[in-house]
Amino acid sequence: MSYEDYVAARWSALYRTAYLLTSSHADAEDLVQTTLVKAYLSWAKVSSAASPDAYVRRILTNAFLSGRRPLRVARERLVEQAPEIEAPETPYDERLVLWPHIASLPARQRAVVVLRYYEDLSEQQIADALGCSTGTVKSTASDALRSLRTRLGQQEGATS
Amino acid sequence: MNLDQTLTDELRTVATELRTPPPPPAAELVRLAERQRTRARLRAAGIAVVAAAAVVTALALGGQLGKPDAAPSPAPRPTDLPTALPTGDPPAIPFIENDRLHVAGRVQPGSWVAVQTREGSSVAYLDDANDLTQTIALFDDGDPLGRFTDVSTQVVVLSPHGARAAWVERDGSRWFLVVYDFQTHREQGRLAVDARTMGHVGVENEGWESLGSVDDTGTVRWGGVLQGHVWTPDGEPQDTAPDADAGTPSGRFPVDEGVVSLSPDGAWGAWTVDRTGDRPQGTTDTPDQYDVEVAAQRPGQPGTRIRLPLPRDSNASGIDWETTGTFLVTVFDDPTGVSWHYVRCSVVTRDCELAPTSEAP
Repeated sequence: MSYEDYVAARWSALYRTAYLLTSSHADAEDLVQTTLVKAYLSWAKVSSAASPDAYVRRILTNAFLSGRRPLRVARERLVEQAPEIEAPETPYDERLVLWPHIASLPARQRAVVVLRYYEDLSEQQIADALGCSTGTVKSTASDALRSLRTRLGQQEGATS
Repeated sequence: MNLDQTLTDELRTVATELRTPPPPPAAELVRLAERQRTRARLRAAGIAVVAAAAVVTALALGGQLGKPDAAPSPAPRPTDLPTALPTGDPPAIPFIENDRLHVAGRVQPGSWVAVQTREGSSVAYLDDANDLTQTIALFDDGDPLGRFTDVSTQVVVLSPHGARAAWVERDGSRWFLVVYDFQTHREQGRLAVDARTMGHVGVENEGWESLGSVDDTGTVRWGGVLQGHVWTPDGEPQDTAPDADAGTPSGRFPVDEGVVSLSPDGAWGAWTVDRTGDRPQGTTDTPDQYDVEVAAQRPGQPGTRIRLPLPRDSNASGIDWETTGTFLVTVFDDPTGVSWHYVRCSVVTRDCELAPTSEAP
């Protein structure tokens, strides 16, 4: 598959994942563009990979996570908790109980949630995408679910 | 509520109902990628490149280096800038023009993309890089010392006075950190390193590590976001904490010292800055922002700071000191990075001039 064909075929899918990660159309577009530029720079490796999609997904998630680090520490230090993300741009939809809370999770937790529940990846695949251990994936997912349950509980308490 | 199922349902609902914009033309992404590839190498190395036809007479660089004892002054607006600079001597250090490497008056065989020099020690990059490796050539006061293949595409680091160079090199499936001694013209030592962290094999991730610096005795520092390391040839490598202060001004300069090019005697430092503030060039959120100028000052003496405004839509890449008082700045006034020029600035005369190259019109 040529690079041009890949861009045409996968743009929409990458954009959807990027939007779930960033909850912003502008940021999603930037993230996919950054991802595809990086993919071009490594196209020989991408196109020969067993799963080009998995390869590009790794680029996208790493670009998302690295892009959200504070500038001062971006080069040298891993941050435990990335800054919380602004509320999503999507209009309020009463069908969506969890989405507003997903959008405010720390970046790494959000990435794990999106890869697990939207992309339907295994813990090992998520670990590969994030460049971490499956243990870290498990603990990050656990933290995310606990946070979501807490926020839901607070919301229900406030509305009852 | 079944939290797992609800998460899946809601994420798919949001994604399905999303209206995605059309993809950009692939050619545009390719163009961005190629520009990024070139610019990243140039910026990271602090190197000097001149390419294509250099329309030197059109260069509109301000030559108002301030007086060393004067207070910092705001940069003149572009409309205040002179339209031309006086023409001085050609560069006294190796330079590249039209992909040709000029060293001590001789053109070196091959097509070249960059060269950096520190006190007579030069490293030049052949235009043969693939995803992982490239070929470099070393020169000592213009004398060729040899070409080295299978060098990582990471930038080669030179010690403050050019006594040592360090790079990462592939040998078969193994990767090594190499320290080269410009005084003996021999390799001082090599250390096996992990291909995944230092060879940059695979997809960019948080485990990647990069060369940081080498000092004039051969001690190398490198690391990434998770771990730092230091090693001196003939010794054992030591782990260090990641440098949490990286990117933070040290107090000697208003920017991270890693982006400052020191004069050979250490009396001056020069760097490029985003004109909208004092952020080092390359740290702006928008990589294609071309609003850049050059600054210089004595370490720890902000009152000596001088600023060299560049014309709108121009950029500067690479500062190489020719002498203790003059440095060369590579300037391009074309957002595509095609048209490059050398400008020589002096902290002694507080002035700038064009440094013409032999092939310039």
